[in-house]
Amino acid sequence: MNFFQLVFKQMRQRALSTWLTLLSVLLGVALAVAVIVIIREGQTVFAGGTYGYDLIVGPKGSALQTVLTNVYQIERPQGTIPYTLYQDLVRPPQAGTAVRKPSQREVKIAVPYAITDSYKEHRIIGTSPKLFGIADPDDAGDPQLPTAAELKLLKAGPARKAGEAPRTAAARRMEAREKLADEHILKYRPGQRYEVAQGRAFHTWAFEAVVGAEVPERTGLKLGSKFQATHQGSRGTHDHTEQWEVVGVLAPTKTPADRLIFISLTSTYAIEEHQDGIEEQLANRLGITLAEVQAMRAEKKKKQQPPARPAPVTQAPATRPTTAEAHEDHDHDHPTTTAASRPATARAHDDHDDHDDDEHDHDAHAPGEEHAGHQHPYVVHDGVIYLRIPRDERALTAILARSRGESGQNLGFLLWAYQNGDEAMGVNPAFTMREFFANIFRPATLLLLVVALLVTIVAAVGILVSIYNSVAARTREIAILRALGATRLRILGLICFEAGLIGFLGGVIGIFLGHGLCGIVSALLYQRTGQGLNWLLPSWLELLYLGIVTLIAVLAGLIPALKAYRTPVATNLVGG
Amino acid sequence: MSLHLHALKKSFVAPDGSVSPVVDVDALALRDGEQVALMGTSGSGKTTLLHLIAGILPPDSGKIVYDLTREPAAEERDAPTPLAPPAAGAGAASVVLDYKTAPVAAAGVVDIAQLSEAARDVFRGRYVGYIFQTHHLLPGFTALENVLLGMSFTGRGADKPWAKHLLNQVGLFDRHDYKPAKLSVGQQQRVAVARALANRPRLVLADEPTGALDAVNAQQVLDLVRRLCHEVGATLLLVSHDQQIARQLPRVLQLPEVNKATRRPERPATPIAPAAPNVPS
Repeated sequence: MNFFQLVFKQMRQRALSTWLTLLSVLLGVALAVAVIVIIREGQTVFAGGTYGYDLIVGPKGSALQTVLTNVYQIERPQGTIPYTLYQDLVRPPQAGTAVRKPSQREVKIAVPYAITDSYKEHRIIGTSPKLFGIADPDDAGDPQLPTAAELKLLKAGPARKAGEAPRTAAARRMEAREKLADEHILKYRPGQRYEVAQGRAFHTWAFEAVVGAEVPERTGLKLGSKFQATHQGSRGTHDHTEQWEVVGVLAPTKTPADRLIFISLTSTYAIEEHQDGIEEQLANRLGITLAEVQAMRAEKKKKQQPPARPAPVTQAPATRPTTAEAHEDHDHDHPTTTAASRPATARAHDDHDDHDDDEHDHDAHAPGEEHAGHQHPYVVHDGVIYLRIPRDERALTAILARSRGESGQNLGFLLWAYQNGDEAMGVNPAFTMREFFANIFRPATLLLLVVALLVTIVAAVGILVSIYNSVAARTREIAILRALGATRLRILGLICFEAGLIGFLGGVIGIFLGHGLCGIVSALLYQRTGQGLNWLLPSWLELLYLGIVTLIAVLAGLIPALKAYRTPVATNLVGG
Repeated sequence: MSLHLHALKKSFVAPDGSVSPVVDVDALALRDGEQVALMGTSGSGKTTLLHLIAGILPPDSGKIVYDLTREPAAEERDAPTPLAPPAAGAGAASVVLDYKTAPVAAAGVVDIAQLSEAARDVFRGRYVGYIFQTHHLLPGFTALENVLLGMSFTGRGADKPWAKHLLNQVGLFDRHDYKPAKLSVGQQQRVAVARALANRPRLVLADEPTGALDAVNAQQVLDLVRRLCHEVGATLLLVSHDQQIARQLPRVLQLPEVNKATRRPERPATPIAPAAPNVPS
């Protein structure tokens, strides 16, 4: 029998002991390999530093949470920032201000982000069509209200069907869809932008949505589908009244964005229930009570009240217009009135209880007539949402931006300016994640690696004990092998090789198991964030670790091997 | 191959520190292919002498010379002719150990007393077969694997056909894959015999191979040992306390006990009768 056959035979003779020892080795190695892979992939995912933007403006708080919330969609938002901060970044600097504030002078691209509700556990984000390469007319200001002639036109005919030409200037402006130059489009990674693979980007003032690449498969939404957003608050979960239509599906990005639903920012503010939130946030920001906020808003609205319009001609009950038509020309707020949503509109009108006053009978007033105590946040004309909320009362979760120039000077100013301001903070995502990785993630994982190494050493001690006991029980066998011609060195080699083989086999199996564990982690991470790990890729560190483990095992076997080496032959051969 | 011992001495240190001589042989010679029985009282150092000859123990002084110059004839190895066992009671008279001076070492001649321990181990693995009193099979190995173990340290590859042939020769045709626990004592000793012959040794040392067997099995094992040794052309030195067994071999040597006071063999040296020829029946 050759050397290897002898060793395997000896190991099979003590199969249970061998396997238990091997198990302890492979567990230690699996843990170490899993940690090595996670460190490597963590560095790639979190500290790789490749972001298409270099600034996130968010509420004061944790920079890490800001990045995790807005980039990796993991955490919940810490709060909100005023919409006006975004306005500053898309306009030239204001003349005559004593303190220099961030503006378009320092920022090349800025995109608003409002993390709002969810649909089937997929986060909904209010944003701008600029994210998809379409110019946003809302940056220039609110949509102009329809003229009298346009209103007359809208009232005269049926509601505009899909594909028909817009009837108002605002709708024409919204649907112009001017494409942005590539250098003005925000990239999620250098050179990589969000592409609409099916359909188109949403209109900025419409109840429309663009969904991430995985959303259709996971939720059943497709082009043309309508959905209602789900709000999860302290008072429970409920669906909003408004409905959005899916008009576009993004190409895969291999980022958490594949699981997001993007809606127009304007439609986010149009949600009835968000008014309370807006008022609360305004109260927090200004440091006043809710009642004072409501009083302030009422005063403002009074000053902005347009002159009363003459009452339109009341139609005979027999030819009473449909609910949608009746509400298109008066200050009564409902979801966008397309043909498909009329039943929903009617339901919403009958069932909702979001009015300040008790529910009332709309048949009791002429269409277009304002009625007291009824404050809806928006009105829809010709498919365009007209918000009633002033811009200075609106809020965002964050602003994603790219500074001008490559020197970092503008970025430095932006970070400093926000840091020293009261309303928000600026975060460089690459820097923040590198810090997180270097200060928290890496030390934690290195600690795990140390633990794994200790586990391996303990396993090596197990090898020592197991083989030592085996040698003690095999004294006569060793003597017989010596009598048959095996030298002391050969016996020592046999024992050390056996120990090393246990270490090596345990190490190899442990490497496979470690990668398997990473596969599980990757699947869980992918489920949570839409981003997984490259868990199949091996690294030279693992081979090095395997070598170390094998060496430790051989050294562990040396002690029992020396005992076998010194086994006296003659005395152990005597007797039966 | 012939073996010559000259002025061979071996002592052990007792627990109280005193030195106790165990072996003191002035001269011993075994001719090529000879089959010799070695008898002695309990404690006379028979096993220690075998260990010295096998190179398991180093002597304190003296020579243990293997003359390997004569190769056994090809027909003795490749075309074995089974021999009938010798008749009981036949053979030469028992003689006292020969105290002749050993010849000078020459080419093909090895004095293993001068070799290092590792060299003695290697030598033993190549040229010596050892049959223990209690077989000493490895329990986790099958009969075939135990026999193959006997050729593991020869420096040559495993010869499975030869191993199977040996097992068949010892009558274990259908026991090749049995582990020792599934074999009877007699069968285990047969496997041990096959193992000792596995490396085609030049010298077979058998330390009371029939000591643990009943009379029938003992005779069968003895016959096997003698026949197989003749088959491979090996010289046989068989230790036994059983005169019935010993007298079946052509030459019997008596190993006297060493007087611990005088440190010399009990019996004085006496001229010995010439060794009877190794005449197989």
